[in-house]
Amino acid sequence: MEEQLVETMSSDLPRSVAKGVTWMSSCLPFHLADRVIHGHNSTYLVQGEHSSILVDTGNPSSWPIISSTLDELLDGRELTYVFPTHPELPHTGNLPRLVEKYPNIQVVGDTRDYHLFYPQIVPNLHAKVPGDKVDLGGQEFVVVEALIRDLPNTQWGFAPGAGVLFTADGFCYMHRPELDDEDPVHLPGECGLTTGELQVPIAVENAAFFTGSALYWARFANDADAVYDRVLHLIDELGVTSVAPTHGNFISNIRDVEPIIRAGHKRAYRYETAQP
Amino acid sequence: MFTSLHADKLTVLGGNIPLDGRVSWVPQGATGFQPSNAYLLTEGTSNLLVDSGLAVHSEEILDDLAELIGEGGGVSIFFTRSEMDCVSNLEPIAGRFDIERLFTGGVINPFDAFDDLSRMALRGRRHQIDAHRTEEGDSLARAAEIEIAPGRVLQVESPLLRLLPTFWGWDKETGTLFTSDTFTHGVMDRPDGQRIIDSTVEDTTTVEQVAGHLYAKYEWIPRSTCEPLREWLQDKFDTLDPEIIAPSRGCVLKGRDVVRRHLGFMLDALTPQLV
Repeated sequence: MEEQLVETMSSDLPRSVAKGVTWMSSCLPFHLADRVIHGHNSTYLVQGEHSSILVDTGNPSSWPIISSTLDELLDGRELTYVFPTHPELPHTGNLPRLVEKYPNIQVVGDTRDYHLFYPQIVPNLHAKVPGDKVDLGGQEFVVVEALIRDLPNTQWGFAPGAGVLFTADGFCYMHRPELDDEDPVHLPGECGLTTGELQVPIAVENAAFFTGSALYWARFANDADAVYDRVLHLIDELGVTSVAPTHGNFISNIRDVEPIIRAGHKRAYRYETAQP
Repeated sequence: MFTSLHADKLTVLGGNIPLDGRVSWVPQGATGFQPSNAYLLTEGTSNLLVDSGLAVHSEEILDDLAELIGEGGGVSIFFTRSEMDCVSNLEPIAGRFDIERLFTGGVINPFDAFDDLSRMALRGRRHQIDAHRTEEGDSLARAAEIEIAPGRVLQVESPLLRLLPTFWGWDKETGTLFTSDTFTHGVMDRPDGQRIIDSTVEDTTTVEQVAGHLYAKYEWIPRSTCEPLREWLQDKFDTLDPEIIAPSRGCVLKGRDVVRRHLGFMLDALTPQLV
């Protein structure tokens, strides 16, 4: 008999974090010698009056619990859209299962490469570019250029009615000082907390560690101020109130968190005396 | 259709990717066909597959693998990256062949990533190769050597020039350096074109072409401090003196003159003001 593999889903989640936006996170447990820590791998469901969109798909190994959570949240309706931010397994690995469960689902976003990875879902692919909007009924989802990314076909999204910016691997961070892995992690019991609720705030060292690892290019490109100035401009332009990263806690106080992430990004640069 | 790169030792398998505007890792407007590569290292009855190719090429890769190692044969796999162009045939390979060992980096177990692969027996066959990290977030290869068979090893290294967690492999026996998502610039005009650039082929590669492919995925290079990357790359090639560059995508570069020429292109591409 095969083992049914399911990653931990916190009992604190799913959780409504803004109007029509539900935070769903499977947490990958890491068993260290003296403790267990968790790594967020979040998906977000944005619901309108007649349609809904799932932002990122979660890890394949958490599919059973993601599927049952969708059943609970959608209450008999079909999932209309899925927006994979970029084609890494934690973000897109459940695309075939979503199409199997919801045959009419539209996969929206920068869909380049997906026909090579998932040839069976080609009819469901609907390419979008920044500025394109998806009407959910009393709620919109807007495709936004990703200002912090690793893969070239990364996109961000924005739900104007909720004020939530979905930033994929951007604004991911850790907030524990004694970490030994590059995935952003937290302690059990913190899975469903927003950054405004955390007892231990993010430290610059945590942000630097994550940035230098997961956004590897930051150690070579000395342009953090330019990057985050653009992000702040985007935040002002769109009227963003909260930021929803795939890895890391939901950011409810973006104005407090942004300077820490920016400082961590700067610190990730390795060549202080070299020409930028 | 597979091609032997070194008799009884190294074979390249895979299909071609039409460059039709739907591929993110090539320069905008690129045309032609880009080979997608998986490599089979063979020593006697032992086999190590470097990457597994694209799902869209699944049938041809599996059929070629069956011809090379026998239907249901045993094979170990080494993933240079956990990206879908490298891993997406893991499940069908496991369904048709016996995966003896899986060498991969990262905290996500690729055996967990596919529906039919969550069996404990398979999970126990995974060897993580990047578990050791420094305080600054560097990944270092833990299993610095993968033994293909007694007396033949693949040396594994996390390269300085990378985007996501990535490993390069070095097979001294065939003089082959597996470079994953760098040196991917060799494309073909026709789907049945020559997927190997060697001394018998008219090589029209330009530094602009190399830079275009590099920057398409490594978009940060033109605004970055590249000197350490150039120094690392030059040192790597001086030390190993490879005879073959074997990327996950793009034409295989074969022959020391060809390798040296393309190293020069890459070093110039890593000097953005020259391009």
